[in-house]
Order: sequence, then C-alpha cells, then structure tokens
Amino acid sequence: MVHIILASHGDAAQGILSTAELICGKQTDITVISLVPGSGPNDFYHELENSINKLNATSEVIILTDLIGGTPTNEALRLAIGGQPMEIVTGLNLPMIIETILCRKGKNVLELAAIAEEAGKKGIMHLKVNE
Amino acid sequence: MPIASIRLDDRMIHGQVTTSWVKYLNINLIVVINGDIVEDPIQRKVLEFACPMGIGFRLCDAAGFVKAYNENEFEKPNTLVIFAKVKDVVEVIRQGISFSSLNIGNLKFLPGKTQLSKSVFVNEEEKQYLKEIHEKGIELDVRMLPTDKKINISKLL
Repeated sequence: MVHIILASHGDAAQGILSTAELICGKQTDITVISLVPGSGPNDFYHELENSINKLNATSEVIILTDLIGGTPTNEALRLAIGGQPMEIVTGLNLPMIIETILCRKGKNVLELAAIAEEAGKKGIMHLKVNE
Repeated sequence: MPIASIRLDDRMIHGQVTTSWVKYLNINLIVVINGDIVEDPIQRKVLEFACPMGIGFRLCDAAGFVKAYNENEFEKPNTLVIFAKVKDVVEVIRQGISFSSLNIGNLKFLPGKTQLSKSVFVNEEEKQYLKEIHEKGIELDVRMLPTDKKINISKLL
C-alpha cells in the first residue's frame, strides 16, 4: 500500500488527519510532518528523509503538502528532485486526504497522485444559493 | 524606483514570501541572489516551483544582479529582490547600488550565532556587515511579514 505523508506549516496536517479519521476510521501507513516555529528548512528536510528511510524499501510514497512555494513543499521537492522517489501533491484539503485514503488499495503512487489532485480540486466549490 | 522591496532571507522563496509579501507589494518578478546555488540544478528547480504561477523568477549572483540592475532590467517589473546572504547585500552596495531600506526576514540559527530577533541570528562577520549597511543610512527593517511590527536592531549591532 502506498505510504501517505502529510506535511504542513504548524499543526494543520495533524489536525486534518484526525478529522479524516473521524470520517474514514483509524489509518495506518500515514506519517505527519509539521514545520514548527523555530525549526527551519533543513530540519524539515531531514525529518522527511528519516521518515522515508524508516519505511520498507519497496514502499511507494505520496506526500500531500499544504502550500505550493512553502517550506514543506520546497523541501519535499528538494528531496524528490535529488532522487528520492515520491509524488508530491500540494494544496492539502479534507476531500483530497479522504479520497486518497479511500482509494489507496491496489493503486500505484502515480494513480493515487492523480486521484488526490482531482479530489482536492473537485472539493472546492462556490455554492451560489441566491442565483 | 522599480524595485519594490529588498529582502534578506536565507530561506529565499517560501510561504511568507509567496503569500504575504507578493500580494502586499503586488510583485511580478522575484530575483533571488545567491551565488552558491546558481549552478545547483536541484535548488534552482525548487525555487522555480516555489515562485508563484505568473510571477517571473530569476536567480543570480551578486555580480550578475549588479550587471542586470545597471542595464535597467528591473525598470519595468515590480520586483522583489531576495538576498540569501548579507555579504552579498554589502557587495552590491559597494558596487554602487543604493536603496533606503533592507527588510530582514529570516537568518537561521547556527551554533555560535547571536539572536537579534525571533527569526534573525548572526555571526560576528554578519553583524559587521549589518553595521556597515546601517552606517550607510539604510534602514534595517526586521519583519517576517508585512503586518509584523518593525523591529529596530541597530542598537544590538
């Protein structure tokens, strides 16, 4: 099963995981990495690298990050461009994480990245009640 | 003055920059000055991805910046200049580029550095460079975000 990493500035990733688990039930094979005040890009990079190194060598990894251009995304990119195999999807939101969790079984990481991106986008809608 | 802001930040392009500063200053070009990574394809690619969609990006060393500046390449776009190293700020000032204020965002902690603000740590050499900048009459505006209160660090130098 593809391993999911949730990465954010502050506690957003942890918070969204506990919300997602209310909806989908307790999950395994998910890691949360937070960029906390006082820690820098290098700390984040090493924490991410260590988390991936701890996984089974054959595990595929998808990382869902909060903000394109932000440090969690930048450091994931640095690791990925440097040769660490993983897929990165930015703009982490609840529909994205739920869909990723629910579709994980039997999918490879590229398929899952496409699902995550689409679900994240589809979950955003302006509900124009007065039109 | 075509340059909207000059910032010192060793994290270069990151969340505080791509969201708050770019919108606050209505930026359409980000220039990062860091000679160490000009030839580093990984770092360059990360910065290209980090630069918000629709906003120009350029990476150069101090000499490259001075040359482009003197050739008026920053006349038109509303430009945010981000120096990764205070040494390079001093370098471009010595090369004749003048400006009135230096925004200081983040300089990371390393053993032996002194803390000047929540997010700014300097070694003795960097402190001397900041002093030199301050003595040129340039304001040292320590702020991570546009909405933060400016911190005056000149007394700490």
